Amino acid sequence: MDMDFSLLKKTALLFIVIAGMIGVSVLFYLADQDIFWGLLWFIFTASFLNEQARRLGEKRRKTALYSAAVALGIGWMLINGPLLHLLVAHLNANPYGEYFIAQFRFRLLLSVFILDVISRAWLTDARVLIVFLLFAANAVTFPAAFKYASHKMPQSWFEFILHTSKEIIAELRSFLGKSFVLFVVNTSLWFLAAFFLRFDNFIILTAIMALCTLTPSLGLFIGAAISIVFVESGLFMLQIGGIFIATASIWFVDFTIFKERDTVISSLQIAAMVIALPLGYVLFSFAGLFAAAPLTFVFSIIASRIFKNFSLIHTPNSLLS
Amino acid sequence: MTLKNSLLKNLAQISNQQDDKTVSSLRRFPPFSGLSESDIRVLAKRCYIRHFNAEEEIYAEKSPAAAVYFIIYGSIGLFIKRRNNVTDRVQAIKAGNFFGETSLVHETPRKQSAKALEKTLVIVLFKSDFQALEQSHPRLALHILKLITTKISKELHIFQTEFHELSQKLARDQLLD
Repeated sequence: MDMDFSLLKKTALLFIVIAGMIGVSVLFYLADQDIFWGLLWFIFTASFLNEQARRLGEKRRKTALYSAAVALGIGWMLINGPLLHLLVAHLNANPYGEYFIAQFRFRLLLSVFILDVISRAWLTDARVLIVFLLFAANAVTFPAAFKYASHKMPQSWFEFILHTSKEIIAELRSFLGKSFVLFVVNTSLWFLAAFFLRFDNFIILTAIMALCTLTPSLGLFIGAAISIVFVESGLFMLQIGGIFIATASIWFVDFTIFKERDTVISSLQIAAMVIALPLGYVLFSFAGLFAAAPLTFVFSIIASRIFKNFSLIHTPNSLLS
Repeated sequence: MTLKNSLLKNLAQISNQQDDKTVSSLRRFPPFSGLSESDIRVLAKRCYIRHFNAEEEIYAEKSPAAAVYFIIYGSIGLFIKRRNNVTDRVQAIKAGNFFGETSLVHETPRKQSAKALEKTLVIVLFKSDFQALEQSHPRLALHILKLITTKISKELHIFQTEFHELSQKLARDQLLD
């Protein structure tokens, strides 16, 4: 990411990032929930599938995408319903044993919050339909609409709009595609670790880690730190030691196999997060806190690209002297 | 529903017309004459067609290099702004050639600005589309890279010859003095 920004530009970028986050919040409250979550599911799965199929030739790419879509569809039909029932039953049972840190209120808040997130964001029948419709639109209508719109653009804006939008789409696709992989890998590994370390609340720990891994580089450590709150007194040594070993192992997997080291956190993103995290918490409680970090990354990518390419806008006939 | 269907149909139709126009333009571009029909169609899907009037600016000096331009008809001029704010034309490029090629291989700002010298039709290939081609159709991307390499090596040869002649002239002048 280009780091050569003046103070004025950095301030403007911060405003764009914060405005973008507020925009998403407004959309969350105003838009139909099925459309909102269906769109989010589409963005993540499309980024992941495109990122994986990018290296294949046009024909093999289409076959791979169709096969993956069918496999995901069948997988969803088989496990979606039973898995939701299992999670909700476990979260409602909400087992409270004897804990090392006596923060019952905090644990209760986390449990209620996780249950709320799962029930809100779950991929329901209506959302799957929306995702498939968006996939179809993406394959058929979007490229045609993009080309048609490009034809109508004024000369002075043509390079800026097309180059910037293409760069933003490519960078966000890569970022979200990698986030999706890390989300699946880290969540699965954390589930296994929490289960074998005999945590009563292993489903809650898995769900917390799932949310945290959406924050690049830092999420794993934040998730591990929150997990300490659920360590039980009788299993203190096993669970604390297990958390450290599991964190180190997952970090190793992320940074060697999935190359999370490529995600560089810029000073702009840190500055935006310093503002966004407390703002998110004050406005939307835990949901704001968990959503603020990944949204900061998304909007800082958009803002940086817009600023980097701003000089592509030129006035017609400016060379005439 | 009918309105929605007709809108989608029209959109697809317009897009196909655009692609056909790009295909026929690319076929008229001599460096792409060796490409197969399927390669031309793949390239057309990634390219954009633009018309420029005489004196119209295509890109500005010092702006980020975003795309390569293939001239189908007309001609363009490359300009450099001197210290005294005077703009000099450093090169004129005619139909059948291309410009802005460094954008595909190097992330540097434009060294010159480009302006159409007459009514000009260009095909635009953006850097991100070229990168996508590199992965999905490497043979086609290699063909474009070969065109760029040939152009750069020819320009380098001209530059070296001129530099050699100039240094010889300078040495002769010094001897005469």
